[in-house]
Amino acid sequence: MSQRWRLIFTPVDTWFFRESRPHGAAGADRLESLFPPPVRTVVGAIRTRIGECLNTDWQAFRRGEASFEGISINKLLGDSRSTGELSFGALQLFCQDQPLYPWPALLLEKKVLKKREEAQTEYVRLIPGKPVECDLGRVQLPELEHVCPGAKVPDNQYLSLSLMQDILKGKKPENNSTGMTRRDGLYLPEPRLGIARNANTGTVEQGMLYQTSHLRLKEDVAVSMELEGLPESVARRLQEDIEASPFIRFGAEGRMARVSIEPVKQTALPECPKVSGNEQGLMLMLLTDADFGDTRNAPLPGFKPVEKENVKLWHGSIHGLDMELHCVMAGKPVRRGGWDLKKGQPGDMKSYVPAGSCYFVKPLNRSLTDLMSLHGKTIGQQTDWGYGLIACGLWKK
Amino acid sequence: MIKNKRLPALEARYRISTPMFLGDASSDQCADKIRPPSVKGALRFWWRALAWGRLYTGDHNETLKDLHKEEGELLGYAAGGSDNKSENKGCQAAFRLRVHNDKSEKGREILTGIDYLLGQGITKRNEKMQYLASGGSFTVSCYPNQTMTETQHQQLEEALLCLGLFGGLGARSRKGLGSLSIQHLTGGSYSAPQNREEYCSLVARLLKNAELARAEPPYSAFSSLSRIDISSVGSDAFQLLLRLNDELQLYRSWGKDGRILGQEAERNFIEDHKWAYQIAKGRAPNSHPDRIAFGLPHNYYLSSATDSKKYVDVNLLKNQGQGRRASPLFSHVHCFANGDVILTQTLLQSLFLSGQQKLEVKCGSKKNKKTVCHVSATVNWSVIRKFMDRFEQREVIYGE
Repeated sequence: MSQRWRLIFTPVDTWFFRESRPHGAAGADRLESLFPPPVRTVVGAIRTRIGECLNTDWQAFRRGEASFEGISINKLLGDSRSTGELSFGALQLFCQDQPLYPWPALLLEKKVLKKREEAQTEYVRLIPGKPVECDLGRVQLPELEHVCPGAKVPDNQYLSLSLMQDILKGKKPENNSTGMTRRDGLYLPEPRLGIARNANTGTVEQGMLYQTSHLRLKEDVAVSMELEGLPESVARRLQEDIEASPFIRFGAEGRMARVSIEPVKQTALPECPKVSGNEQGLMLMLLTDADFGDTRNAPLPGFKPVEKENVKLWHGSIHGLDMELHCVMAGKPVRRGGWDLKKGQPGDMKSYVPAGSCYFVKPLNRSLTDLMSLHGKTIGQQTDWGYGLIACGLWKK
Repeated sequence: MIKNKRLPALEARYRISTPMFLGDASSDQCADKIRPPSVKGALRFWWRALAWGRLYTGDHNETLKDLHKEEGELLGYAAGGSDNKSENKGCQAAFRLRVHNDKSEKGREILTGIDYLLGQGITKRNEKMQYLASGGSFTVSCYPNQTMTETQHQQLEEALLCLGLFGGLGARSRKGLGSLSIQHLTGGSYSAPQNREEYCSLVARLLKNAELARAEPPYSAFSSLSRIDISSVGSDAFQLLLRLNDELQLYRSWGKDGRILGQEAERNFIEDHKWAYQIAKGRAPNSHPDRIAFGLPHNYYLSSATDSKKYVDVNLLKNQGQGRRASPLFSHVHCFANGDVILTQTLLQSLFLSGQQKLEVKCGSKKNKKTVCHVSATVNWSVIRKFMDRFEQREVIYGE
């Protein structure tokens, strides 16, 4: 197995990861930035940097003829559809050197504002509910552990490692507990106004304005991605190149990042909880966005609907482990496009299941402990891009 | 082929010596932290100030062309066109700039005692507007590109130093607010001064080329006509700011009923006072107040004039400029690591108004002012030099 590397990106100034809509979209005022950066943007930046450090002739690359010391750069780097011989890990956020995890779809937050007091925060978990008849058939929809009006899944919030591990153990955060990182703890939006310029006269074009909202990250916020499959000679060269010039174009609007590279000693993955016997199944949580293809017939790829005791369930297997899917808690799909550097045109737009989505499953012909081996594995398509990383949690009785 | 090792990164640590009125990206509120564009703009200013003496050939136009080229190569400049016809293709800076902020506190209380320095614009807003409190620190890191030469590296280092020796950031930075004191500097041949003696010798070393320019520069730059004073010393930055406020007000103000700041008004500018009343009486003298040397606009409120003629404004003729000429006097409060504080004042004597630019004099009520006359500006620089001379503790460390 080849050495695994981690590339860490920190901002030089602001960052901007353009959302997937044009500047002239009807009713649009300004383009917001996505955060965290889209996977393809980060993978693209890394692959371009590898190509640069190998002095790639990009014209030859477009023809599929780029090589370096007998290594085919085209085969190594791949293209917009494949990562070539490389394999990328999860896109990981860090704040003050501590990893942050996506907010699980099963955890709801309720804020109570009281006069002259700080906001009180209450947390409640969703559990697979009793079967109900709906457009999907008679299925188990999520329901609240206890009634909590006004509770919702917050946007753009992240959990610390310890809270994430508690969630996987089947617990929920204490009311008013710390360890949640809100959006304003990571970055502040910074609006910018752009002009169109007449290249011949060097003057501003009348009425041609555009607005973007950049991200100004707080100190000690970083983004990292792991990488595997680099030949030793290329890895050494990449290290030397980054050491000599640690800056990289990152995202849109010519923004820059400072990049560093280090060998991976330990993946930033929450600890897998231990089965105690008090569980009825497993909760699989997506730590990164996932590409499950067409999910109209089954929430997980390859799963088939079955009728059991007058309840609709789904049977299927992940990495050869058979299981029964009872309930899904997922957020809205995220739409990601990107830029195809090789073709010089926008990449295909696709929908992904968002990180934080939770799947409640029971083993078939296996023990729960066997299913726990899925912790840290990837599911779905495009897993070499870092999509579909799962963590295993406990579904308590 | 692996690229060559680059020049070392320059790292300068600055302390915010006095309250800083720095806006954020949306400019309507106080910044949370120092942003790279603010620092880059200030570095560009101080690089230009130093470059004039070094590049001056005796011909202003040729020197400006050389300066523009060098500035673009070091600090970057916008492209002149993508049609491949323009000589100015634009380029990126020869370094990457990064600002590492410490957690900075925002001041909320209204600053009392320095109203004259703040001016009415900020005093009014000060009730709502926050500022970055003094005492905070931040670090500016400049990472050279492959293209940067050793000469450019040194020039950048000198600009970083100038920012932390004479300058500041934010509104009223020429009046001592938002002063930055350089605390540490690594990666180059200079080091940050730790006391007054080191400060003086560093200034002499930095400005060794400025003497070469013996004519007034066309923009704010060091030349043989510049002067730098250590005007006052102490151990509290805000006390020095108070001193500057009082001295400036005593020197410039007419006072009310013959008194100002609890003492008899000095009335140093009787002719200016008479001139303004002449304007209010409908006369149009072919002259202007001496105090325009401190910058434009230069406005009067005449308490004894009739209601329709209480306001007299002196400013740049609108179609000839931006209606503003910043003060050529840079006040700066510098804190040393040992707790000593000095007030420095830098006079960058330069062409006051360019070419055929004229002053426009208006008179009227607050909302309805009419143009009275246009006059050419002849600046009396001794007005500022006399102000610098009034500080008893002064030591002239550069110029005369």
